[in-house]
Formats: sequence, C-alpha cells, structure tokens
Amino acid sequence: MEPASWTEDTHSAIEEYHRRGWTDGLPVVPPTGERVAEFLAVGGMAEDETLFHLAERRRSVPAGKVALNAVMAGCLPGYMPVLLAALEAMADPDYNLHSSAASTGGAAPLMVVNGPVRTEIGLNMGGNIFGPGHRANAAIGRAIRLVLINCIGAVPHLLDRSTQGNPGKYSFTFAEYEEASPWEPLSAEKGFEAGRSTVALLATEGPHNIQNHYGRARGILDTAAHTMSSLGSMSAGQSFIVFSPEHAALIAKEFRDKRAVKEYLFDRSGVPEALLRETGKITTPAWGETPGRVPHALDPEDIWIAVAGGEAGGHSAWIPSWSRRRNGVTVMRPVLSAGERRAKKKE
Amino acid sequence: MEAQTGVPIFDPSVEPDIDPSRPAMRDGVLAGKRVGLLWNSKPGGEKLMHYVLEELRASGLDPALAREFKKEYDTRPAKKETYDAMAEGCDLVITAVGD
Repeated sequence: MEPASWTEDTHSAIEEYHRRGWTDGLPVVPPTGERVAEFLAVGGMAEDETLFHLAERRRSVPAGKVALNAVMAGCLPGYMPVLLAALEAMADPDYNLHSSAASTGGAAPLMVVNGPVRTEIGLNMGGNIFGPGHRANAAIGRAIRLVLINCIGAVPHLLDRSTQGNPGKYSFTFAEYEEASPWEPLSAEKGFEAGRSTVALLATEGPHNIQNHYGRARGILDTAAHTMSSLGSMSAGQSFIVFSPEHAALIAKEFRDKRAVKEYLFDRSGVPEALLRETGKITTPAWGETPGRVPHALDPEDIWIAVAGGEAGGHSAWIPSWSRRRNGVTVMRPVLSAGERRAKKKE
Repeated sequence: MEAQTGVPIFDPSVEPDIDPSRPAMRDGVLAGKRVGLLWNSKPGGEKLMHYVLEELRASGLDPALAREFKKEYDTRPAKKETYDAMAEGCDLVITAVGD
C-alpha cells in the first residue's frame, strides 16, 4: 500500500485528511501501512481482496480500503471481523445500501451485535448504549460511516442528500445485553447457533424514547405501541424496539416470549387512515388489514426486539426503519474469525 | 534514493468504475422521435415528466409518441422488462431522481 503523499507531522496529516474530504467532520487517526496490515491479518483478508461490490455506485470495495477507514475511525484490529460482517450485511440487496445512503430520509446504519465478540472487544451493552464513552461502539460505527463516505461516495450534499440526517450517522452500534434479557437473544431467535457472534443491520431513524417509570407490563407495552404510532415516522416497515433490562423484566412477567410482545404491539399500534390522508402523508391506498387503522409494521415479525441499556431506569427505545414498505430490511451476518473467513474463501 | 520521512497520507477512497463509453448521439431533431417518460414513483414525479414533455413540444417533440413507464419502488432500479421496453420502443428517455 503506497501513500498518496507525505506531511511533516501528525497534526499536518490530520489536517490533510480534512482538506481532502476524507473525514466525517471529526479528526481521524492517520494510518500507517503496518497498522493496516495488522487489521487485515485479524480480518483474514488480503489488501486487494474485494469485500463487496455496489452495482448502483459502480464501486468494488477492497479490504485494504476498509482497513484504512477502520484505522482512521480509531478502531482496534480486533474490531475488524465485526466491521467486515457489518459491511457484508449492508451490501446485501435487502438492506438497500445505495438508496438508504442517498435518501433525503437521512438513515443511519443501526447495528446490534450478539454473541461472544461483545465482551471480547468491549462492546457496551449497558448504560448509555446510544451515547459516548466506549471505544468499540464509537469506532466501529464510525468506521462504517467513513467507508460509506470514502468508498461508496456517500458524501453530504453530493450522493448523501439527507434533508436533516440523524446523529446515528456518526455511529449507531451497540451490543445486546443478552445476560439481562428474559428472552432468547436476537441471534438465537433468528436461527444462529449458540456461541456464534452476529451482527444485525437496519437503516433507521434515530431512537424514539419510550419512557415509563411506574407502569407494569401492559402499561409499558401500551406506551411502546403509542410511540410506534408516531405520525412523523409512519412509513410502513420494520423497526427495532430496544427494551431496557428493567422494562424487559417487567414485561416478561406477563409476556413469556418475544412473539407475544410483537403481536401485542402490532395489534395496538397504528394511526387512523383519515389522519394520514388529511395531513398529506399518503396519497395512495393505505396498508394494513384493520379498517381505518394503519400500523407501522406490515407484520408482527417486522418488529425486532433486543434488550440493552442500564439496569436501572424506565427508558426503552423505538427505532423505525428509514424505508417505506420494506424497501430496506434488517440483514444479519455471522462474525467470522480470520481462519473462518479464509476457509470460507477456499470453498 | 532518500527514504521519505514524515507522516504518510493514504487514500481511503474508492473511485467508481465508470464506463468510458460516450452518451448516445444527439442529432438535434426531436420531430418524429418516440420519447419514454420514466417516473420514479415519487409523488409529483409524473407531473414533472409531463411538464418536461410539454416544454419539449415547442421544440418539435410529438407528445402523441410518448410512452409512460413507472418504477415499482422509488428506491430500487426499475424492472428489467421496463428497461427492455424502453430500449426497444423509445428513441429517447426522460427520467428524474430525488423527492
């Protein structure tokens, strides 16, 4: 890997990356060839090996460029397997990377991580999951954004036409707090074998607070259902609900599994069709099977549930997808070790 | 050759693989041309297409020769059959992007 140019010192290098438009607005860590090589070794990929191709952007993204952006984002080498899995998930046509990255809707890539890798690399799953303070959460999400800017051209005002965007576009990564969840983890729910680390990616808005400090199971879920009935977010599609451990424990006393929660929420969320028409939100036929009530989800399984956050506090979050009518859905991928990735390549 | 000193700057970007082929020939004559209008299905998009069509009428384009097409989803490419129909049945195509 050859440098494009040289500067006098670290500060000059940081300014040069800014000047060339290769940042997210924050200073980046100037990479070295040796550091990039470390990242590639842990990821199990060669510098010029293509990780993904995005046909709409006519770009093939090699692992070396991913590693560069990961170093710039402040990642540690051990984060590479998670980052590679995340980008592979986003390159799946079902995720709809091209459109979600360009849209006025301002989507951020939300990532939920499951499995042993969470503790191996220090991903936060407890308090302040959507906030600062944990390197893995901050840097992996940031690396995703730098790859979008630098490798697929999602540059603000050019091919990123977000009207306003959302703060998750800087970084929107957290781990599920499996140990505090009364239900099966997301990875198990979706069919991955026990002990397998996974990533789940969905292009989303920012989180909507579901605040309820005194209610019990149905009170909390009714609060969640009302939150899911937000007129401003009413575009049919998937969403995540991230229950805090406190909320999850209370809900689980009455709702033994996630399916029961999903059905309850699906049946009780939605807005009147007349309101959607009066406000100009829709001009085409509304979706849903209940006359007059239009749900956000098209099916209870459109509601994805994870548990994360601090062990005290009646705050959960609803995170709706960016897309309309499932034009972007959640995609999951296994996190592969370097050896697993090389073995898979040989197959 | 002296070894370079200082801090290296690596290019983290990927350039698009752009087909160097040139755009279709423009012969400057719109009369008799079969025009296709591809609406991306966003609200108001069809009005834009019709507005452009009317504007081109003054330049000799016959709106009667226009065919209208629509994408199924605004955020996805059109179906292959749509592109095939446009390629076969149109001399020029007008489309637009954005909200």
